[in-house]
Amino acid sequence: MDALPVWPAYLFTTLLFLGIAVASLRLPPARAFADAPDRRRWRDIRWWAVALIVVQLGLYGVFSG
Amino acid sequence: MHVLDLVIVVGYLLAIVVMGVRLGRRVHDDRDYFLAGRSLTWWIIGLSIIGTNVSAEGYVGAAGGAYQVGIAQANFEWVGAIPAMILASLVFIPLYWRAGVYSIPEYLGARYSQAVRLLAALIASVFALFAIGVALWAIALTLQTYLDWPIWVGIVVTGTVVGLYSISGGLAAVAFTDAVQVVIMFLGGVAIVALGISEAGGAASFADRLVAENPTHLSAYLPADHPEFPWPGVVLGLAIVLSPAYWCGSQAILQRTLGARSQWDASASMMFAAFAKTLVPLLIVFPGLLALVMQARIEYPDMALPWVVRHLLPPGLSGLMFVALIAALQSSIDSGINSTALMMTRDIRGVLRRRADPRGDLVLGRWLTLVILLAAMALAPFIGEMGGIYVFVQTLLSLFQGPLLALLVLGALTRSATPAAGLAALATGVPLAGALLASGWNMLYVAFVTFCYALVLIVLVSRRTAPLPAADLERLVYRPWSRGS
Repeated sequence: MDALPVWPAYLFTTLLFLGIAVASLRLPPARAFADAPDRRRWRDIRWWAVALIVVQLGLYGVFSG
Repeated sequence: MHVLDLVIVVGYLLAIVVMGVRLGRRVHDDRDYFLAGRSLTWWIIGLSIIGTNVSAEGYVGAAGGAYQVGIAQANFEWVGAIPAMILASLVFIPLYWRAGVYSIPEYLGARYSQAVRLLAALIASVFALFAIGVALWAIALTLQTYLDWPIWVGIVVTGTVVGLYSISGGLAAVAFTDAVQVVIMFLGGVAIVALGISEAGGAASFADRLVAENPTHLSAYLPADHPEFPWPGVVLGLAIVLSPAYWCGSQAILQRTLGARSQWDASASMMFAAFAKTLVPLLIVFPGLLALVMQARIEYPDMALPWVVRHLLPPGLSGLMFVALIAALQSSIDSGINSTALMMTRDIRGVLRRRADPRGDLVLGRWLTLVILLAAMALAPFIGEMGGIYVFVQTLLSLFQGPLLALLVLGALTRSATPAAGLAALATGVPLAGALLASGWNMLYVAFVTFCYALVLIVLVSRRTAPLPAADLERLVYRPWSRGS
């Protein structure tokens, strides 16, 4: 394992984040808004997850040298 | 110390104590003390989560880690946190909320057995005691570096201040003071980043000077043969096991989400914390890199951040940053003693006595908070002998995080895991992790191997032992992507 190159780490990271983004968006809206006082768009936590993942992918892109 | 710095430090300490004591007037029973009366809103909880997480090992230790390995240290804040925080927000927090529990061991007790609850609470309490000791040692080290206070004076002063507001105000005091502490921490961190980059002649110059002598310090992943953070270990051990076990199973972290005023507030708080977490490396990793660029003369890496504070910031700002450091460290101590008192009161004593006593639990909880704090203060002076504090805490975590995560995942998402299987995995997985660590394995690989071991054992034992009745599992299993759940 010590001889492995580093690039698979970045590939794994990208696939992990993309997988979580897809899973988040497939969550039924009723679960995303469970117990929320209203259904205003900003309360949809699925999109909070997607925004987080976009930022993470950007960071790993910058520090992939 | 400049008089302006002194005014800021003393003013902060007084304000924190007064806030905690005032919140203590609202505490009438154990629900108020341990869950803030289920009244907390999402952004307070989110800030408190970060305050609890960015602690001794996070602030001082991560700066030291960055000094040694570079931006790869930020994996603990990015891939080693964000995926697990999203998982916690979408799956585990709703699960615990629906189960109506006070603690993670209480959930494990309901899902598996009271023996599992007792064992999990005992393991988590012992770990917490060490973690609080680490936090006290780190704060004393900072005080020694900055004010030349002897280690024992720093420990006593910190313990007294934290004890005053934590014992009186419970979780509400802990959460509100954490929120204030995190805001101060970010203000101080931003000041360091701005002044540091300015001192280095701009961001491009900073990066050039850093990689000139440390070529891998701006690479997120280190080679597979790196002695401390090999990338396969980071991916398999940290991202797949240690991080989900921490963010989905840590009592100190999740207790404040159980004190939320609604399930949505609880879930949103973790997402909000994840946004803040993304920025945390700017505050805790950057100073370590800055110490390298400024060619700091320090005895060991954990002194990188105190050195930067002392040598870079002008009077006033250095006082603010010093307060930020104290604040970050205090928030891990207050959360640790409150959550450990909860586990000892309800999950250890409660199981052994087999009856609920809300008023008695409140009195006992306060006394236990004091006892745990005193025990950690006694332990703290010896922590310095144990090497880098970040690695020390992560090594402790790797002892039980693998088996714990297997119990949580199979318990939360499947109906087939049985009480006997859960007990077998926890009771044998922790000694296995200890044996692997003792034989020289990297902690990241230990976490992954013991997680796989516990998963397989639970599946095998569950085939031959009786599960819980289906009716009992209704509120204890949660599959949010399944419309029938």
